Amino acid sequence: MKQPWILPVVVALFLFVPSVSAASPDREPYLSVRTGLRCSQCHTNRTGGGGRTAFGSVFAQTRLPIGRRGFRGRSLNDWLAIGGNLRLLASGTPRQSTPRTALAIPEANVQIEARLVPDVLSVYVDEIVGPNSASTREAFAMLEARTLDAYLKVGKFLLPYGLRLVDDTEFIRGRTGFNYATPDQGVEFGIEPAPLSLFVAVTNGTQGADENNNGKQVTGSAALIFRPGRIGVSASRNEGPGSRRDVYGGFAGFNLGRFTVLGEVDVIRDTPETGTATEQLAAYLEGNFLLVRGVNTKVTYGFLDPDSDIGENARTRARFGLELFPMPFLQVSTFYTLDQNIPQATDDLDRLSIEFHAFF
Amino acid sequence: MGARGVAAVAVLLVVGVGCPGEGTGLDPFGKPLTDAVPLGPTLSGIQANIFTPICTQCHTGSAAPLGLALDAGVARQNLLGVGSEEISELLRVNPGKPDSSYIVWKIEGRDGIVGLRMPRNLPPLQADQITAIREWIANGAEAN
Repeated sequence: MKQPWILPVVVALFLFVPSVSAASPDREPYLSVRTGLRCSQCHTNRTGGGGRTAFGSVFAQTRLPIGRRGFRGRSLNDWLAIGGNLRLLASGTPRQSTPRTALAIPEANVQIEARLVPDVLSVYVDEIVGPNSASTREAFAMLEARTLDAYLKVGKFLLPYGLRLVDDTEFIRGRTGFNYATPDQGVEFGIEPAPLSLFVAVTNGTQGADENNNGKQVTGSAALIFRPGRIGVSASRNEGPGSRRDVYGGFAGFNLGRFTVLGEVDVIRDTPETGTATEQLAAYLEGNFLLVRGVNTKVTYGFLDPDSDIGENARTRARFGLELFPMPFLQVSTFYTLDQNIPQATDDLDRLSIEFHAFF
Repeated sequence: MGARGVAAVAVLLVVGVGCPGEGTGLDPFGKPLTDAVPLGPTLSGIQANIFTPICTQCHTGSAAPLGLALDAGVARQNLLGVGSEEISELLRVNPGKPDSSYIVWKIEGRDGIVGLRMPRNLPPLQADQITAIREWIANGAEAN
């Protein structure tokens, strides 16, 4: 389905962001936009997500929660630090003919960071320890240099593309293939001379599996980050066996007082060696309002055109809810998700959810 | 532009951006009705009713997770006799042996799987869908 509105949306995203910024995607990108900080300020992984830096740990304990309860460092000694995330999700599907409730652990991770040569060489591992058998999400060695604030990462890592939302079910995460389930093996180079953040990764393109062809995936993201906002572009090409995938798009965000907005638009094109190419369009818009410190309200909107050659098949997804940081190391959020598909679709994905997220 | 102006722009964007499709001429999976194939223990039935509409929301093209593309034309070759990336002792599809095929473990959410039950972030497959895949494997996972 061709979407005549896409151009205005892209223009609006960029025009209404006075000076946008940067960079990299982040586990909670709105926090990065709200503070005007780069993702690497708070996360060991320079492109965001996962284990926190010393600054990120202090920030999470002193600036996020409603109340302080002392301070607990994440470093075991002067070169070794640990971290972790544990999420418990309770959800219900009130609109289904047979309502279904569930308790699940969508994430139980442990991170270890070894700063072998301070500010030069570090090793980082993010291990998924539950809810099923263990597996490695990220494992890489990183060389850093003061010149241009550059780094070189080698190993298995999340690819630098777009807003690194925590919610992998958003269309811009699930459909683009850049999410927490699809780390890949390769090398990544980046520079972050303020206000620019630029990342380029060359990986197998097998999303964590052993290489199965000579083609490689090249993924890049560039952004400008300023105090009131950020703007950036991302692109990826993956030459695989029998097909090629191109993904490209833009993302932006800005902050005004207690109000934070961010969004992303992506085009996903799969071109098989034989047959016709398919093109998808995914978009995302998110608004946050900080009621008081530690209490954030959020409204999100997602749009998906799963095949531009088929009409009347679009899907939308809206979420609204509340995020609380009642104390250090704890996030509690409750959301209602309104998933709107074509009328004859059999899946009803509307749900009410409450999530407890412990992190350190 | 003040905060109220920004909020107004955001609301206008959300309202004006787009609504779900009306689904005219489409099956429940958003595909043209002319492509409809009944679900059964055949590759074509599984492809049309499970792999293409559900699995290829992620497992598609060159960027398929763990290299497992389930697009029409390549799904069988990526499954049949191919070792699982997550549990190396198991094949993704072991012809004739559904209980030792990792794809069955994943869609049934058995103890011992790595990662989440498939389809990830979607409701589990329905019983008749799982049965179709089990029977297709039990019958030799033919290209039928």
